[in-house]
Amino acid sequence: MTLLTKRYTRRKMKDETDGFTLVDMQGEVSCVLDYEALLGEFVNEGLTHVQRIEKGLLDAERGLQDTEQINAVFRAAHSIKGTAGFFGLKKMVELSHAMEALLAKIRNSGKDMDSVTIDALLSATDKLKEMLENVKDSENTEVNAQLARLTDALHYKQYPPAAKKSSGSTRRDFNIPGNYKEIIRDAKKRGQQVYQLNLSLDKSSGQNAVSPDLVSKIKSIGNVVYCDEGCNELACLFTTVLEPDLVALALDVSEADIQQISDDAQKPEDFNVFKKSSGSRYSLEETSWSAKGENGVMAAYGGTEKKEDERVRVDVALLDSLVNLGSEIVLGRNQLFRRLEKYAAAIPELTASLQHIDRLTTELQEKIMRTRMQPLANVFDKLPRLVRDLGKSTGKNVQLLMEGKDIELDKSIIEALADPLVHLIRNAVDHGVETLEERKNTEKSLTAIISIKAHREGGRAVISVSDDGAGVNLESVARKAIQQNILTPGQLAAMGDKERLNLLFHPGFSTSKQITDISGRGVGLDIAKSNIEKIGGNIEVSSVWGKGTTFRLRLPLTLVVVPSLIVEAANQQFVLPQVNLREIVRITPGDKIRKIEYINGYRVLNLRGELLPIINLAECLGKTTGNIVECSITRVLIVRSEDRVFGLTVDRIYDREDVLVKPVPQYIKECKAYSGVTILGDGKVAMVLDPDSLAPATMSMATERQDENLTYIGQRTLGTMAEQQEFLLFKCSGPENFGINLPLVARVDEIDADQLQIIGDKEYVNYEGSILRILRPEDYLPVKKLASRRSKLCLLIPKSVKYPVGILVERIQDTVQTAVDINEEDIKAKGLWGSAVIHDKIVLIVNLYDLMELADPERYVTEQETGRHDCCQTVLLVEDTAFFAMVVRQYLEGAGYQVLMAGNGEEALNLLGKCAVDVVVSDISMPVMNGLELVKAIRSNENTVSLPVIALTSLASARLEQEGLEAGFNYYELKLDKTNLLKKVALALSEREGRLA
Amino acid sequence: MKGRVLTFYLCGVLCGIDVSRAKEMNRNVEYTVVPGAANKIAGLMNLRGQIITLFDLATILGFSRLEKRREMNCVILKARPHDSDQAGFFVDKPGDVIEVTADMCEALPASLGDIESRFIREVVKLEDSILLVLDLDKIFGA
Repeated sequence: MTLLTKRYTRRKMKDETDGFTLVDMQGEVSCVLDYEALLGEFVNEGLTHVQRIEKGLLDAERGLQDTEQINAVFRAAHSIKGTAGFFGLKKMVELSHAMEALLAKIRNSGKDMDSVTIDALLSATDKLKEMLENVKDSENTEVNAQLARLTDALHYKQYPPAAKKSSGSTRRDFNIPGNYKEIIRDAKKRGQQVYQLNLSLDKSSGQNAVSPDLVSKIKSIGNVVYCDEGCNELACLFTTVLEPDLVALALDVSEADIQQISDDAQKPEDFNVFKKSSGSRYSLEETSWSAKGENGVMAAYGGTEKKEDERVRVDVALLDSLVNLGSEIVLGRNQLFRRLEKYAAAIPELTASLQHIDRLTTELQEKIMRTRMQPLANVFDKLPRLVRDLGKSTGKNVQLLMEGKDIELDKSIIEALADPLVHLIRNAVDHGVETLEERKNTEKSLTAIISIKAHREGGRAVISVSDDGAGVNLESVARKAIQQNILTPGQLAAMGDKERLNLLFHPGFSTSKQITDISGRGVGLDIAKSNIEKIGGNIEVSSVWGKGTTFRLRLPLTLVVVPSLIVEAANQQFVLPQVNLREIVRITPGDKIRKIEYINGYRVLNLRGELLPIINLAECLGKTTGNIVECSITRVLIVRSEDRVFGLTVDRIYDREDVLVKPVPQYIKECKAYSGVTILGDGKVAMVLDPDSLAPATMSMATERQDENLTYIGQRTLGTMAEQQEFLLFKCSGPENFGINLPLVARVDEIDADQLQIIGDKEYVNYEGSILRILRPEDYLPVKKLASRRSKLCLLIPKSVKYPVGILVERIQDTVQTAVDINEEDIKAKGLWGSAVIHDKIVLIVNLYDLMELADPERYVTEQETGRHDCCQTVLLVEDTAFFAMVVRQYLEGAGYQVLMAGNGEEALNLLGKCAVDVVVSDISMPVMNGLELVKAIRSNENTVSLPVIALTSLASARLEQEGLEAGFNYYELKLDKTNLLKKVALALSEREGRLA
Repeated sequence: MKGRVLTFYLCGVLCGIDVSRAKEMNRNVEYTVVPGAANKIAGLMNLRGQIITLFDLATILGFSRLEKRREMNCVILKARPHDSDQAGFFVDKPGDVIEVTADMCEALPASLGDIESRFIREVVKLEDSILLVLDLDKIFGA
């Protein structure tokens, strides 16, 4: 507003001195100044004022009311009134005037505002905002309701003028002529206003504080009624046609020093019209007043607002083009560097100049980017009002705590953040926070706390929005997900808590019992999530039942320029953001420690004990390249995606470069592998890789052999694969945690408890058209058994069993891939392999086959007896997978054999050389030396040429069996088929005995 | 239609677009293939700092290409206010700008063989050949 009036005034002043009349002058103004542009400026400034009013009122409501605060609000309302009057916006003037009147009364009374007043003022503020946003139509806006409320508030409580204002100005009393009322009336008749100018000169700055010709200046704009000029004080009463702010400018004094006096005035103090100082040199003086404590109000104002005055309003379009130019200059520099590289030696001092340009460009770029940075306060400041209104409309007491308002983010991010943040707050108030009764019942403080905290973490900003409400009810989330057909019960059963929580982000998902107008329409969190992801951020949710919910947003600080590595694959350059690059590993051929190995046909790299899957960029993008030439030096980029680390091989690695990332054109949006497009230093277009989408695409290859119904949350870092085991964690009716080896589970399904039928002492269920025997592990294991309270139960269907059964469990908790030591000693029972510690909890690992034997002893008893051997024959078991080794060993030992263990073919050969072995049972696929190589080695050694060797495999195929038998295996058996395995071992031994005999 | 049409050859077929939609024609453009993108996308090019998506119009229209495209000529379309991204397409050989009057236009024949007729706006009969005027909105709107 000040900017506007200043411009206007300059013109006016010039005209005044030229002797134009007011009418002429305005006529000229309207043709010289662009009305539209001015109006736009008015709207912008007006909105800032509205914001200030809102903030002031909310602070006042929280009990932070002080005179400064009220004055700021008052000034803002006044400014709107002033300029709206200039544009002839009568309704706006009317409304802001009423606000001003109420505020003036409050200020003079020195009392706190009550909620009626605040509500009236807020509603008027909203109206003002609405009118400003639609300024052309503001004259047609209905403001009577707001006016009535303001008037009501004005009379609702008397705000008597305080006898002595604590921080009010102590103005020097005038010796005003007794007939001043007459003078004022006269002046009014001529369309003039009466002002009182009151200046106090500080000695230190006195020499230039008041220009000596101030009085003559006053005379040039009006008539002096009274004047009292002391040695360091000046008091003057005068009349003029100008508005107060114009007078201030004309006289080059602060508006605060000018008071307008109206004819019905009782005391000049009632009509103190404070207006924002226009940043003149008087602000200095005001500060010095503050030191003297003479005028605390103005001083504080000058102090806080001065900072704001150092900022300049710049057109966003101009800033944007500046940013673009800045980015282009970076590209230009890169281009220049690439081209001049080869002349560096030839042209003396070229390098130095280039370095200089380099440094300057970088700095320039940084500074330009800084211009786009805005503090989070821009979004945060809107939230208190939101929380207040939401709290009122839901009848909840909510307190909002905010932290980290001053963290700066790129403008576009700030803008994109507004909606998601508002949504999260709405959610928190509406769904998160309980009703007052519920809080009372749970003995929580009645005032709920929603806290928004922002801080910087590395190159990112983290904003957390938490409430201390009820938390997310996972059960109800799960129920809703099934009701809304988002998931099948089977899928759900396989999900862990974290995944269930993430269902909140599923499109169309809503858990609120009833849809309110605040939130719960079922659109929202998914949109919030996609908005956050659009700007390169991510959102996580965590929740503790009964304690509250926290959403964490991780956001990039800037968007545009990204330090990256340029790589080549399939004769094409790609850009890999450096954020995602952890390290580059150089692998030389013959290196024993760092080498690329093959596991199950997938390439992995053993890096400091971590097994990382390796993918080839070209293959990943669907291009075929020659195999990696293993004999040459290979460089592997260790890439960190959102939740995985993997190795990426490329054909070539170029330099690092700062690239300006542009969005992927809409036409190729369906290519998920890219997060953006950029123009490289050589002018070529290159795609920016998105590691997050590269990783899952390849990861799924490694896991697709697994049951599709199950989702895997592997442990983040893969341990050594040989000891990796996947467990399905579940709970039965008791408190114990159970685990079962995932490869043994064919599928998981959810069933209703009432589907179970009891026949005799056994339970059955009609499962997919056939009758399935049900086992409850707690019936057979030494664990606590409680009555089941759940209506939904989960059914685990084991793989490769002779008699199909279903294992009935209460709840599936998680699937983990982890390297664990199964402790077979501490907790020992038939039906358990032992115990293990997974995620800091003791988990009982169920022995599925034992369990089945326990449940159906009659079926298995005969097999046990036929399989029993009392002679001490020795079996060499060659198996790399710890779990299978354990299972098979137990079968064999159970049948009375002595078992020697070897992890691979090489170890097995060593053992064969040392110990007497009667039969070898070997896995086929093993590291170092596989089963086929082993059997060939056994057959080629004359000591062991006739040793029976049984192949164990998880793959059943006639071709493989043929291959195995040709290589020299005597028998070919499927893993985990206990009965057949024991039969074959017995058969092999008896054949051998027969031969020996 | 009436007005000036920019013509070009695509797999030996004379095609044209409303000249007011064309921004410029470039020869020997360098472009980047986007692995994983749809067939109809030829790649991306840098036009003075702007990223242009280049289409393979022949594929879109269902023309069968007898030989590999040799020349790298492309037509860049003007960006219209609602377009967020700029597009262009390759042509085999640039033609002329010709004036088309209403009486030269004919209704679409019932069958154009394998050609995607929904992308053809009009058939214009010229003295010695037939010109297919393309419907850019349908091609790039889809």
